[in-house]
Amino acid sequence: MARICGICPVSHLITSAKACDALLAVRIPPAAEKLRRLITLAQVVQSHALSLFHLSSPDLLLGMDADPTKSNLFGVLEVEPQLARNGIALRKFGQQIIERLGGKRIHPAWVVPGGVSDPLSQQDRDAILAETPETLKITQRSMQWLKSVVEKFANDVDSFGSFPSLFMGIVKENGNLAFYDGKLCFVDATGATVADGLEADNYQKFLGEKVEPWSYLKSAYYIPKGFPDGMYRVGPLARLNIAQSCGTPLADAELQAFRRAYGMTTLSSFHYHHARLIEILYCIERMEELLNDSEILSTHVRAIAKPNALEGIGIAEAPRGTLLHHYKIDEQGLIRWANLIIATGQNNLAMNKSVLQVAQQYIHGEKITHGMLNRVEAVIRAYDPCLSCSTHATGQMALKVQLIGADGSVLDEVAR
Amino acid sequence: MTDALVIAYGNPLRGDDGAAWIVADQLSSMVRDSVHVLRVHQLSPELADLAHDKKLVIFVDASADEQADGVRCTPVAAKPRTASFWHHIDPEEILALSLALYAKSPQGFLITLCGEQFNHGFALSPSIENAIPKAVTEIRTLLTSNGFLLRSEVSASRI
Repeated sequence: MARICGICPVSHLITSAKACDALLAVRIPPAAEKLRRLITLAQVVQSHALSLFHLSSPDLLLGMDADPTKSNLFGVLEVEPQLARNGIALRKFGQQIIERLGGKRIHPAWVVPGGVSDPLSQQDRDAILAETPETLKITQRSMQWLKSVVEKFANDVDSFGSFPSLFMGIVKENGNLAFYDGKLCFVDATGATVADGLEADNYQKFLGEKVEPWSYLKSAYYIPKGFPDGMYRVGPLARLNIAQSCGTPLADAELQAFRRAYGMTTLSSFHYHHARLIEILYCIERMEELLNDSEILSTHVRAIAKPNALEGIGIAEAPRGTLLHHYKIDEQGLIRWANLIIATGQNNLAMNKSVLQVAQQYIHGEKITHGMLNRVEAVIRAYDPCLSCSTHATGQMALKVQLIGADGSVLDEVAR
Repeated sequence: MTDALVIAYGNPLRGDDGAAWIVADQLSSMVRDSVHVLRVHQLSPELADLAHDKKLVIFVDASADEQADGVRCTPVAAKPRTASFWHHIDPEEILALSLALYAKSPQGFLITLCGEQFNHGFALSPSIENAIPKAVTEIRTLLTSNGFLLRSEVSASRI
């Protein structure tokens, strides 16, 4: 399962292993659970760093009307090289933890049904802990930078995927931010709870998936509200809109500031970036807590069992949002059926609506401008979509935008 | 700058796209500690951090654009990218990032294996199966010509 994607393989491994835990009907050892939490958090840090620093920082630093040939990491390096270095440092931090735990950074086979294959050594624990203070400082410096640039985008924020929708994610029993396990929760645009305490095992009762002829992505929706009114968003912004708090001091202080600035429920997808950075802060703090728990060094890290159930469902929060794996096996333990609900598919309706909103705001006359096209790219980037696992397409997908007149004629067409 | 880095990239679930990983697996048993072999799904910016202090960086990839039965060895020079959007980065951009971030750019080569089918599955096409040993030989030649010692063929075959 991990080989589906090179960006968040750990999330697929974790969710797959949890589905397999259900097939084995085992309760994994406490140390294994802590180690799985640790690698999940490391995955979030490295993936969020890629999204924010390498993909979206050019939009934020150079502006939405920048020359598209300059709007990339090299453009950032010319203007603010330390920002690019921060991104690389954070991504390297997350990748190295994955490598230390999983033996390799891209497709570790360390997370297994029943737990993990090997315990954490004290040497590796100490090495990771030694890096966390500097990593926290880098994140806090980056937070200051992000807050300073967001103010420049006041005109964009309100047309950047800013609309009422539902938000979904998993939360802990106390309502706090969760990545590894918890119950599913939906809130609406006012922050009111629409449904909570939802078990992933019952997902087919409330999560629908619609196939549209014009998209490789399935469009997920909340069944009680129907399609497309059941549109919901997942990922960093959704998680922070749902959570009571993060549960760690630095991240909670930033979450409070975030809510003071944008309200208790933030509707603009522009703020996915800010939410990502708050989550990085939380992940590093939480990793420190886990690593300082002596139980994490326990050598009892795997429960062994044969298949005890013919159907298993696993759920976790991937960097981009809620990820669900559902398997059915035969008596020999061979998988006969599988369904994966991917974060990018769950954001599909919201991404489409965001593109429409940008177009309505920035299309004037009969020509598509660079600024408009940049914003279309940027608003999609805010969701950090990952097409490797979320589509059924093959090959490289291009960005192609057509401006179609009221009579159906193509007025302009731009491709990148 | 004394070590070498081999970065094999591709997706083993997509037929011939996984050929670079097989090359990396075979090469791993032939090289000494001064040659680091990485298998990655795709290139990403932080690889510049691993590459910048190396004498030689060899990228290995499979492509549908090459001549049948072919293995091509192309020098790679630092070249900044001129577009954004995808989770995608080229070997030239890895070296350009290395140069921009660390003021160092190692010598680089891209070994490209000709592929025919990139559909889902592990099966390799006959042409890429032919290309794999040629690619290994090409990389061995690059390494030895740059002063890197290899393990003997005998010990490699035992491993």
